[in-house]
Amino acid sequence: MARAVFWTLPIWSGHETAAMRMMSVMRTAGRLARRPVVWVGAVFLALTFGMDGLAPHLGFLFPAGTRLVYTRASFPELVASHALLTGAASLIAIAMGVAAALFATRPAGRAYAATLDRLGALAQTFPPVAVLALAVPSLGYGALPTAFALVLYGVLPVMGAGMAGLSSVPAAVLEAADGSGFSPAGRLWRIEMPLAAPILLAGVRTSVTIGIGTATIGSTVGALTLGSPIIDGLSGDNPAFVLQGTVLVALFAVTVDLAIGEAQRALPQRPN
Amino acid sequence: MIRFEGVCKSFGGARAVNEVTLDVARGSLCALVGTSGSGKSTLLRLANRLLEADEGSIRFDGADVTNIPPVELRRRMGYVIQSVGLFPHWTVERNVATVPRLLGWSPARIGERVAELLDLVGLPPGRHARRYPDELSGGQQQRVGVARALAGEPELLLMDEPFGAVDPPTRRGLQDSLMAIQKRTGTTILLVTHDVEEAIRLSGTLAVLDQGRLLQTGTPAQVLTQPATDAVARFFGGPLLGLNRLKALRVGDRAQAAASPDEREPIDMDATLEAALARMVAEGCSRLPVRRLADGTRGVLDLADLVRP
Repeated sequence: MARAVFWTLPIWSGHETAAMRMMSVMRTAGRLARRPVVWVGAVFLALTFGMDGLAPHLGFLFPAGTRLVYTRASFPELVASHALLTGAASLIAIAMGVAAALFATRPAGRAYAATLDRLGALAQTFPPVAVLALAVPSLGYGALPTAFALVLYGVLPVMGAGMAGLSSVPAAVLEAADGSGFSPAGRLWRIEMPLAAPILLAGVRTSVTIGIGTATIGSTVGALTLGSPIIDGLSGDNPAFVLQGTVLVALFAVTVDLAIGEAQRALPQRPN
Repeated sequence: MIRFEGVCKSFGGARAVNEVTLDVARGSLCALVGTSGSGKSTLLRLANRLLEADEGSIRFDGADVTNIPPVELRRRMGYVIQSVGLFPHWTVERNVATVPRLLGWSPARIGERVAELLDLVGLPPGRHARRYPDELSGGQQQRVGVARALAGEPELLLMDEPFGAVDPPTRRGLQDSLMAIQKRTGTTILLVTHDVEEAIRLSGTLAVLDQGRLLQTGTPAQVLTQPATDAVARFFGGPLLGLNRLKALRVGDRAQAAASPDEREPIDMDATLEAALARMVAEGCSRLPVRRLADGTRGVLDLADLVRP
């Protein structure tokens, strides 16, 4: 089969004209433009880099005398710092959540599944601000206590989805895998994980999106995020800063949410 | 091929398998039969070490199974279960290729083997190889399940009520395919079923289990003409045992040399007595011409011979 493709490809490209290639590029571009993630992402990037240019023209929206341009940090800086913080925290949360889900669904850890589930739920009942206030004395001000709170909040959706995904694999499939002679690791990577992936990814989507929103609170303890203009705006009675920070955080969260949605659709997975 | 010797297995104090000794000859099809809870599935799962025996030994091709790593052992045995358990994220082709891939065969050899097996189970690869399990009917799924189990050229095929979940006509088709496959490949098969008809139809040897104990082994004809205990007789129909015996015996077992020619369509030697009786009832007669006896002469089957114990 692979050989057949190998032989037919050069014949095809030999007949392909520049015009045909152009049309296919345009068709691809057209398909891309219909994806919401592309244009929401474009608006997000445009505002990130264009906010400083746009802000001076928005005076009509706000009370006279409002300072319109946030100057403590540039918006690209804020976005980069926000992305780094939530990205790192999400990666840790995903790693921990997946590890916990794996542990809770292996024979050795099955007894702990209920406990882990409860512990995760408990972690989410603490309000983020309280977690920050409690973390500051031991972790100091800045990004570290924020990351700690984000990880705490991010683990549960991933762990819950991971456990749900892994335990959704039908018992008959597992028995057939064992009977076929898969090793436990082979069964996990080739059968269980691919089948759990859609549900797991839904949990990752929730976790990351919540994280992007929650990270703004980190600015109350000195982390540089898109929350910084919001906090400054609230304390300095400046609605322009609040609006700028809010719009960018919302666009950031929606873009990432849509991007993970695309990844979910792209999974080599049969719809059920 | 596989030999169970004094095998016991308990679950929480209850003996599921009790002192079973059973030898399955190479190339034979042995049906483990019994009511639910008789221990037949447990015995099967002891063979590929999905369960471990408490006592006794199981020898596979001469070697004690506990000396073979489970993963290796299972790759040498095909395994078919009632609920099939196809991998839903893989195409038919990929499902069938499971064990060959685990065994590290070359892609070319795997491709050839998959195509051969899909043909063997009656699913032409051109139409079915690229389909996904959820696009197949229940019967087709189990055909793929059988192909997957046979793909690694296993020395032994374990089947746990493989056709229990499909409708009767489909079941007959699958049984016919299995018999044809066994004839062609000569694979040794250990099959669990609670379906009396299926057991009689498919097996060369019946092993009857009850409450974990092996009550009787023998050919279907032996077991149905001389059930060892009341429990065996009860399992094979109780008062209807005689009717099931007609399924186990063939025209050739009871035909005599013909005294006078009979112009009607003759019945085959290997037709079951059940089929012969059905024809007698349909035609309102008590004797049937038989195609030809072992010595080449024409034969006749008389109702008196058919009902003889």
